[in-house]
Amino acid sequence: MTQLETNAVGKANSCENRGGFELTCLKITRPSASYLLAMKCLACRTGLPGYPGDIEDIRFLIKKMDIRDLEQIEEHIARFYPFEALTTAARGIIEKLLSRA
Amino acid sequence: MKTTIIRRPGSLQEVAAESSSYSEFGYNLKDFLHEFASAKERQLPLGPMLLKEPSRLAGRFKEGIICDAFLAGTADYLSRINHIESPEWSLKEDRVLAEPWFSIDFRETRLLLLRDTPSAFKDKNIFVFDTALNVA
Repeated sequence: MTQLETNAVGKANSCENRGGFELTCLKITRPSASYLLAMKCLACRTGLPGYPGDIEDIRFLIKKMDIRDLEQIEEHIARFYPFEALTTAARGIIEKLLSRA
Repeated sequence: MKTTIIRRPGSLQEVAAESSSYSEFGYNLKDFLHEFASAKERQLPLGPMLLKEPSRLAGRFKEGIICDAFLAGTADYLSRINHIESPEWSLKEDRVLAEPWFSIDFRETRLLLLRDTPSAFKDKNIFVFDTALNVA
């Protein structure tokens, strides 16, 4: 995860807020928690040796957003990616994360 | 004033050379995958990025032996999917793990990993989904 992504996940909140801040010649926007959750769950990349992948971010967002079940996650996905669905592997991983949350 | 240029590893050999810890290895490998995807997109030659054997990490940090096997798996996998001959070093027997390594430790997911891991990694006793190597 890049530093920008780390900051984006760290600052994610549970409401739909695409706010950021603006300077004279630089406008910085950040994705909402809902968007990050949808994106991370669809990708659901497991780790590489020494690299955490998307799993730790999903775990963080599930806790931060108080997600209780897979249906809630699918609702977030449908908002941003109406024509995409979780893979079998992603469903299994996310269900496991939910059971441990 | 001296300027330090920081750049992504351009080969698997550089990934190993620039890694002194497990975590550093992970980020270097991810950076390399970005570099590889970018080279592919620009239709640059990919073979040289995989060709030279990386130095061994087994003696450098605790998880080094996993990294040595993973580098071999990555070279073999990227060669196969890009129709390049796998470099000789990536097929060495001493880069195969004695104990399997799973990219995620959930029991249910292990079954999927056993089924879906690309054979280039299975051959090294490493179990990982190909999507883990995707970069955005």
